[in-house]
Amino acid sequence: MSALRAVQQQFQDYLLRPERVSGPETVAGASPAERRRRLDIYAEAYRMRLIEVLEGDFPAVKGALGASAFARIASRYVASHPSRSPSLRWYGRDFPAFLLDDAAPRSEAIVELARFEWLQGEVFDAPDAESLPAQALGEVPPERWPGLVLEPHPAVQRARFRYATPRTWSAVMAGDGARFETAPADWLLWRAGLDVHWRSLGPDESWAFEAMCGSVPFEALCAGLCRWHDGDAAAEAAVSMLARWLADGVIRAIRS
Amino acid sequence: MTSESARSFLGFGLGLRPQHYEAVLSEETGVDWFEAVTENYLVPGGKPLHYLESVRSRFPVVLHGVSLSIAGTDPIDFGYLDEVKALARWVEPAWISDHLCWTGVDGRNMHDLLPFPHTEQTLRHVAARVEAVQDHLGRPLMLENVSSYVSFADSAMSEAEFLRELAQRTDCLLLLDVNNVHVSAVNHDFDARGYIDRLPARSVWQIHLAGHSRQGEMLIDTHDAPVPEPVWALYEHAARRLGPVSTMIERDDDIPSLQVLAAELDRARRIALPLWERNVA
Ligand SMILES: [Fe+2]
Repeated sequence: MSALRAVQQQFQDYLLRPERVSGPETVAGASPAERRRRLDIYAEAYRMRLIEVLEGDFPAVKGALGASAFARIASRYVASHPSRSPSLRWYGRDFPAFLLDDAAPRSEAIVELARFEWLQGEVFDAPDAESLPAQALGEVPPERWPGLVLEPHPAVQRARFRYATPRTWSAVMAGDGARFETAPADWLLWRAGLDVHWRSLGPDESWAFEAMCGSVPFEALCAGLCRWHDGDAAAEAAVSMLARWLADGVIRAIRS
Repeated sequence: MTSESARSFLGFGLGLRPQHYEAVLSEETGVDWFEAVTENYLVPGGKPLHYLESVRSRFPVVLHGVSLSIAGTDPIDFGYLDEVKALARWVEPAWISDHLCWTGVDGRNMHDLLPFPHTEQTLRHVAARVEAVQDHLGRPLMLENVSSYVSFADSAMSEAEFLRELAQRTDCLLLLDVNNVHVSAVNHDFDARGYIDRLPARSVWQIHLAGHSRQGEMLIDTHDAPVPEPVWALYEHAARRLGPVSTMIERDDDIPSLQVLAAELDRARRIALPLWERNVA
């Protein structure tokens, strides 16, 4: 099928670089201009389709940059990132990093906004799993508590932002302008029901959550929290964090 | 496997769109079945799979893919086909369709339904791939005619003849997109009714209806408008010629409410059912 393959390579080359090549010679048309006009329908649709995918995945970045600036940068991403996947779901994966690498690099705040939007997508269609019900804690006998190891729900993500990015996101999506306040914090994203939720984490809870994800047993979790809480207060803090994680549905299982 | 008596008739359906998930489950619309775009459900979990599961438990569902690249010249992507197969295992679609087109070469995906020359060589190439896919899926593949904006000087047969031969050689099923026939007929100046007349009626198991837009002298397959009059007229011709075929409306942009689409779908019923009176109880 080398003849067909050659036609497809020339056709695809045209879609990727319409200004540089002329497309397959066997494309029918009364004139080179007419052939080009017909091929351009495909070339333009290709570009527009991928830009629309980015617009769908990064609506707040678009809102913050404005439609035309977003279209320019999205065009450059499309030109340098041909898709290799059957699905468009992951096409925008490298877009946050690209915002920094681009010829007109964007601020770190915009990059964070893009990272936040991509993370929301990851949480949205992450694998399904039952969350551990809140009463499960009550069923753990006291002697088992020190060795308790928790397993996070697969839809949970933790992220560190230097700006108040989730608040900026909500403001932009509500149609208010983008204001970028510096407010370093860690954030937890999770799925409740079918929707994506998030909240900020204090430094103690953020440390504890990461430790929990790393299978650190409960006893060591309490010990680690002594950095922020004195004596018995560390264990109390650990218990109340654990209760909140269960209420939020971010724990999939406990092992002891 | 494709004899007329075996053709299952699902009635009148719609493409399943996320905007309508809740309405599909809660509103009385008279829509008989839904078509889900395969790739939208090749995700690990969450909302899309949740709703597909709910819809499939209440309605017949068919799966409609856009990435098979049956006329492509890269090796068939069996990894993708395995994902489709795994999805089909629990969705239990009435059938699985994709398009008579290629989508990219050298590992790239243009995410478009691209045309190719219709020759004896390309027919043999596509037929061999259809057979490989049917073997792998363990079921017939259904292929849809696409809208096109270019044709090839070296094509030796029409698209309808190509589809007819392909169905004959591979026993694949056909999805007739009436709007695509109209769009291509205008763009390439051929007779749309003649195209439909040349299709093997017993192989056509599904019909798409959709709208398009105009760009200069060309029609573009945009699926962003109601089904226009010429497409309804062509549908009547197809319904008369083909007999009872599961029919649905595809709407991908400027999507109105489910009720509005269901009302549009009623027009398909009013056109086709009187013609099929003797076949459809
Ligand atoms: Fe279609």
